[in-house]
Amino acid sequence: MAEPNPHQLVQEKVRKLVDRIQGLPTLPVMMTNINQMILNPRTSPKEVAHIISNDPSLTSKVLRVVNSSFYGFPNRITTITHAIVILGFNTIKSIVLSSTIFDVFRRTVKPGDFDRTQFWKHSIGCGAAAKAIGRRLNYPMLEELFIAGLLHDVGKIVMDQYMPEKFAEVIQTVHTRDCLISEAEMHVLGATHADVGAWLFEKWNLSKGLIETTRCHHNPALAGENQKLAEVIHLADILIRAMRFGNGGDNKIPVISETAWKSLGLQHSDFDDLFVQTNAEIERAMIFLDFIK
Amino acid sequence: MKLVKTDEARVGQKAARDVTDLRGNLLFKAGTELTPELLETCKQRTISHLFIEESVGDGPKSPVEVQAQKESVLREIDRTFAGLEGNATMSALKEASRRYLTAKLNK
Repeated sequence: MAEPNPHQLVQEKVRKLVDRIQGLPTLPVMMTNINQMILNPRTSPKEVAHIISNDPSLTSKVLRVVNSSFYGFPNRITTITHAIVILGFNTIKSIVLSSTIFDVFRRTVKPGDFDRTQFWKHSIGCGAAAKAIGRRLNYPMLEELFIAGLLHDVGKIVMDQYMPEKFAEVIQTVHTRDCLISEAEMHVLGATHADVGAWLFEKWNLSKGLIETTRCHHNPALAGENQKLAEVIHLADILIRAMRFGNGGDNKIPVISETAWKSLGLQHSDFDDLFVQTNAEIERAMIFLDFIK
Repeated sequence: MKLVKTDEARVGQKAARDVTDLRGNLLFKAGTELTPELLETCKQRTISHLFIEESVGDGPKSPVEVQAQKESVLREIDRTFAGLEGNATMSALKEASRRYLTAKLNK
């Protein structure tokens, strides 16, 4: 019998790890419905708007984001239908997805718990950095970059919420070894937040791009046809650590993959401008921080 | 400008940006001094964070304190990048990080 390859071994460890997670939430039906409706080319903006409008809290959040400086439209958008017509199905889907994930993983935290505000600031910052890099590279879908950055570390929240003792051990290991959180996760659990996040997104039937980027943001060369997207998120994650905005659970910084750096075609002299542009994107994106309250 | 939780914003501080409600209606403009009524309105409209102008009292008060803060940040950067000195890209990133963060503290 053939030996399992390293990828299969990690997958097996992830499977064993997530088997221990009890009661993991499913993707809300509303989100599943929207995903299916958007796949149908005959779906109208009004039909999707109708689904979203059934949830007043979600409707308010979507309108607040589309009217914020994140999009910077000069005129006020007052209905979800109007928002869909202006921004398109995919953008609205991204806003709904991020709001849904903030809701699904909401929890009251006590002093000493994993700092979720710092975590989400890191995530929003990563999305902002990804947009700044995307603009520099003329990447066509900046929205996709922002959402991939925003959600790249969601596996940490899954572990914090559904296996808190083990995750506390991970954080303790980060402190005692002064190492990256992914190294501590491998030491304690045999798999990382990237594997757990990708597994969750697979279960939720989210896009292949989001799944592979989440799985491969530490090693973008493994992301297959989504390599470019994963390379941008890989770099964005590192840039935002260098800017010391938010905190994803450790105080170290991973090394930028040489392959990714060459593939992106950036120069060392680009860092200063990327920091400035990321800072501007962060200011526009802070509206998302309101979602976590 | 800094972002604070609405609960932690204080009367007398100034909004650094226009504040809108959930539907994008303008509640008050940038530069407006926060009053108990405005803060209450923000809470009622579920606005959890506000951008406020940083006053002298919010930041370090003396050049000595600014210098101490810079030194602390630079030590943190050194710690974060420890062991990566041989990597040209990471060294360039570290230098850019030092420039960015010290410039931010100088503002």
